Amino acid sequence: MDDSYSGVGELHLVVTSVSSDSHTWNLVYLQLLLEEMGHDVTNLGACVPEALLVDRCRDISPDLVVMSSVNGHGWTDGARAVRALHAVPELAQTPAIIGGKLSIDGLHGTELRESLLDAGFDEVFADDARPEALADYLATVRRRQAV
Amino acid sequence: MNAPNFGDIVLATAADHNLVVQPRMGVSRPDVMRRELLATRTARAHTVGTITLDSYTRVGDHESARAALASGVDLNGYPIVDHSDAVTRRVLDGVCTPDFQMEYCSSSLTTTILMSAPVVPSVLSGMCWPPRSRFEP
Repeated sequence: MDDSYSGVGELHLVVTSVSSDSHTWNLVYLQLLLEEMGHDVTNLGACVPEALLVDRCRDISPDLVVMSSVNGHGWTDGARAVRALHAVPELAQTPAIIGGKLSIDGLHGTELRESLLDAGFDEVFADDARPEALADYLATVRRRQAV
Repeated sequence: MNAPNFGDIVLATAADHNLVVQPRMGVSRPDVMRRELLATRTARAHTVGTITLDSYTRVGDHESARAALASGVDLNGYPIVDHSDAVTRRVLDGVCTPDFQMEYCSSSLTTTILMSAPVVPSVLSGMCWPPRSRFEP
C-alpha cells in the first residue's frame, strides 16, 4: 500500500453516485483511494435514489458524504441529493462534497460550482482534481473534528 | 423498412476488412440529434447512427427528464419517451437508407421505452453500457 497519504485517515465516509448515474468505475476507484488514505468507506454504489442515500446516512452517521458522478447529470442530481440529505434534521450538518464530470459540456464554470455550493455541498472537485486535493480536504475535515 | 439487416451490414463490412463506426451521440435536442445523424450518415466511413437514451429515461425518472426539457437543460442522451412522437418522427424522417442503419442504445430498453419509440430502428441494443448495479440484473 502506498503510504503517501498516511496520517490523514480515520474518517467514516459514504461514497455514492447520484440517482441517474449508473457508472461504477469512479466509485470503485474512489473507494480504493480513500481506503488507501486510511478511511473507512461505505460505498452505496450507482443509481442511488435520494431516499436510499438519506436512509443509509441515518444508519451510518458518516463523517462526510463523497458524491461522484460522471454522466453529466451530476450538477442537477447532486444538488437534489444534497438538499434531501440536509433536509433531515440529524443530517443537516453532515458535510458533503461532489466531484467528477458534472455537466454535459464538461465545463466546470463558476456558475456550476456556485450552484452546487448553494445547494449545500462543502466543496466541488473538477474532473481534473488531483488526489492530493481530496486528501488535503479530508485532512481539514479531520482537523475540524479534532477541535 | 426494407433496409438490409444491421448484422448483415456489419458482417459484409468486416468481410471487406473495414470497420463500422458508430458514434455514441449523447444528444437531447431534436434539431441537434437530426443534424448529427445526417452528418454521421455522410461521413467518409461505414457508419451507424445512434440514438442514445438519456440517463433519466433509462432509470424511469421522467419527471426529471421533462423538467430538463422544460427548462432548456441539455441531457446526456435523447429522452425518447418525453419528446413527442411527432418530434422524433421529424428527427428521423428520411435518415435511414439502405446503407445507413440506426440503433437505439441504452442499457435498459424497457417496455415503456420501446412502446414510446415512434420509429422502429434497425437494432435495439442493451449492450452498449457496462454493468448496472441497482435496478438491472
